[in-house]
Amino acid sequence: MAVIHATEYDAAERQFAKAVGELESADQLLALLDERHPAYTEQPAAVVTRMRAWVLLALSRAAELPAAALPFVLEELETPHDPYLVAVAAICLRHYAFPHPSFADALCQALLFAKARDYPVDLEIYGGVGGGSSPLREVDGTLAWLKSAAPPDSCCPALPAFVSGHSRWNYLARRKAAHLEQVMLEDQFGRKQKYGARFHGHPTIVVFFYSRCENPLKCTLTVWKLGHVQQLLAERGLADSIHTAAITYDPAYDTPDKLLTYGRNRNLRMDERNVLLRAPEGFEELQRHFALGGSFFESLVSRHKIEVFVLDKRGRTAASFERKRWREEDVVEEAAALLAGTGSGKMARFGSWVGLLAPLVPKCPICWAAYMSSFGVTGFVAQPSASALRALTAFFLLLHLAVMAWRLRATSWHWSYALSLGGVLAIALNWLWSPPATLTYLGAAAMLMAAVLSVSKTDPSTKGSISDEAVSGPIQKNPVRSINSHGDLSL
Amino acid sequence: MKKSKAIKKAARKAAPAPDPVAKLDVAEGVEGMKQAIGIMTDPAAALAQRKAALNALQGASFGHPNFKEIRGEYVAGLRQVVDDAPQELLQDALEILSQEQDPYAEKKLVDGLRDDKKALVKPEDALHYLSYNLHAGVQGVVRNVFEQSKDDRVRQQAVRLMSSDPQAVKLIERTLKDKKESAEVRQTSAAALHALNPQALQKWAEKTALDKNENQEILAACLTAINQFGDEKTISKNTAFRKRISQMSKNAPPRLKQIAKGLSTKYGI
Repeated sequence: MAVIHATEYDAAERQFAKAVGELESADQLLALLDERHPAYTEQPAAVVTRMRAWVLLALSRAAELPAAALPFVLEELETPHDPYLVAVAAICLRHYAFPHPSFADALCQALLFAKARDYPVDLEIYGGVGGGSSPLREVDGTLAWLKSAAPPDSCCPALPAFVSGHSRWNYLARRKAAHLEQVMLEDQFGRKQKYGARFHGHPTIVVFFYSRCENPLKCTLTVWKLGHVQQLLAERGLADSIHTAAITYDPAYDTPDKLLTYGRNRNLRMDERNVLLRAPEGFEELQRHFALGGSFFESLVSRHKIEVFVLDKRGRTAASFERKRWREEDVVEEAAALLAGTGSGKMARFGSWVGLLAPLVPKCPICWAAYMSSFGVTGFVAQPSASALRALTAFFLLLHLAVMAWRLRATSWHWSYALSLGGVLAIALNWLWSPPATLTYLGAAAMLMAAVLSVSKTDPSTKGSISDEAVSGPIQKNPVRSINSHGDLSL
Repeated sequence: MKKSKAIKKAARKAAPAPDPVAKLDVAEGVEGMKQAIGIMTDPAAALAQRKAALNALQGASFGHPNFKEIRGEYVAGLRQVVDDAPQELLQDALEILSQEQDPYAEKKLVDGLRDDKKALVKPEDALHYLSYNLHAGVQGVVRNVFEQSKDDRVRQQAVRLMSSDPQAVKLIERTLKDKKESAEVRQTSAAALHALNPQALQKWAEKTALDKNENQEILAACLTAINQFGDEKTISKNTAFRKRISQMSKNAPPRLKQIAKGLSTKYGI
């Protein structure tokens, strides 16, 4: 059997293999799965593959695979490209605490790959060049483990939320984020525009890719899916208000003409709002800004994950879909929700409530008597004239109507607006004809209901819009991200 | 009569291809393919037999429904051939493995380029095989081979690989401008520069077309590049170039004259 032993690789790899073997903490191993780890700097794809497989193998030797490793393991199975990595990932997966039914998708994808590229691999040596096993054998083994699980309805606890790869950042968190204004971007027609100008004034769906990517399930598929995203936006009438962009990881090679050809070949709509971009200079800044998960060898990408971002109207990341396969509908929903809550969303909601104050403005002597008895006659300094109070009330009512009309754009709930309008009319009638005060109470109740409904609704299909969230950080934060920032394995 | 012969011929063509391993003295199906792997890797077997086994297996890898059952053994067998077979067979095995981006074959090829003593095949062949995998990480090695080798076939193959290496742009431009380089290497450099920086190639081509002492092959390459990819606005403003093309379309060796006439028509010169 033809074998390559660890000793036959370059010094850096030998050192890496030895260091990984000596690591005991799962956290340290997990940190090594981040593509940005210095160990991968200036290493070609083949080397990065061997290194990552060795780290995964080390993780699989633990009693149980940590949940934080799941996104990496599932990524290798969902977007398979190397037989050795697929075999290793399959082993890793069956060391997880329980066989979750959702693993079947990734394993099916891996099975298709393994059938076509069932190479001999040696799982005992660094690099895996040898025999003894194969991706097909390992994927089959993991499928058998999965089948051993109880039926889906009675089996497993839910997977941790970060496994989905979906994160959101609320308005406050985005405000704290660093701005990226000056990086010059060039589109497929050679037109140049700074980042700040390109992404200002509208939400944008951004994907990263490079034309030389050889994994058909990564860049090519991502750009095809971006084309589908464009269709979905058009169908929902959002094509003018939500832009799309695909940015290359490989700006030195992906010149404008190559971008144009790449986009055309994948049915991508390309115009002012939908562009393929490169950053001829300053790609490193982009990389830092988006915390892109990639490693490079000279100008060529040696490893990257799937990365999709939804940017707000100031070009700040509001949501991301990383590593795992993403659904075009989810990304569109995310962007639509962002658009709905765009800009003065907070102010709009505040205005909805302000309108409710209108019925509370005292309009008759009895009202004044009631207020005075509540606050105490001694606290009463000056009583405004009835006409001034009516003007104030009218102002609040009109403000309420205006804000509700504004919210209507976001919610599309016409009946909520009608309810609000009815409430305002009821209060106005009460003034004009002085019927029993019941009409005022009914009007106030209608306005209250309309306002509450309006602020509670952002988008029917999302669990909550970005601006609904009151936390000050990513809603779903992958623990590995935290580990990465402290990962300090020195090699 | 003619028709019926044609139909018979077409029918023969349409008939299912015979089992590739059937030509060897082996069983049918998976068992036969396993026997073929045995022959391919057997150092005691005749070279013709081993080569026939390899060819049969390669054919089966494309269309045999049960090939997946022995794919692993086939790859392991090819790796074994790389280690111990005569050059003729080894070369075939290396090419197949390289097309599959096999890490074993790539490691052997790169080791050979770094150290002559470890080379299994000629450097130009090694470069050719490595060109199947863009991510093999050989850019640095390739640039090194190009600068050190004096063999034009090797240098040409190296430039071909450099056409996907943005860091080699300056080296390619330097080679393109160097009249001491062979015409073949310079032509390959022109193609490489077009892949990496089409504007730079156009600028060079427009400038070189004016050089009356330039090699005819290179001039032809320049004019062809401008004809295929030239920018109409730039050409319309370049009076010297237009004048030169006008001269060449009247008075130049036949091939250049023909290309110049094509350019005159395209750009209204």
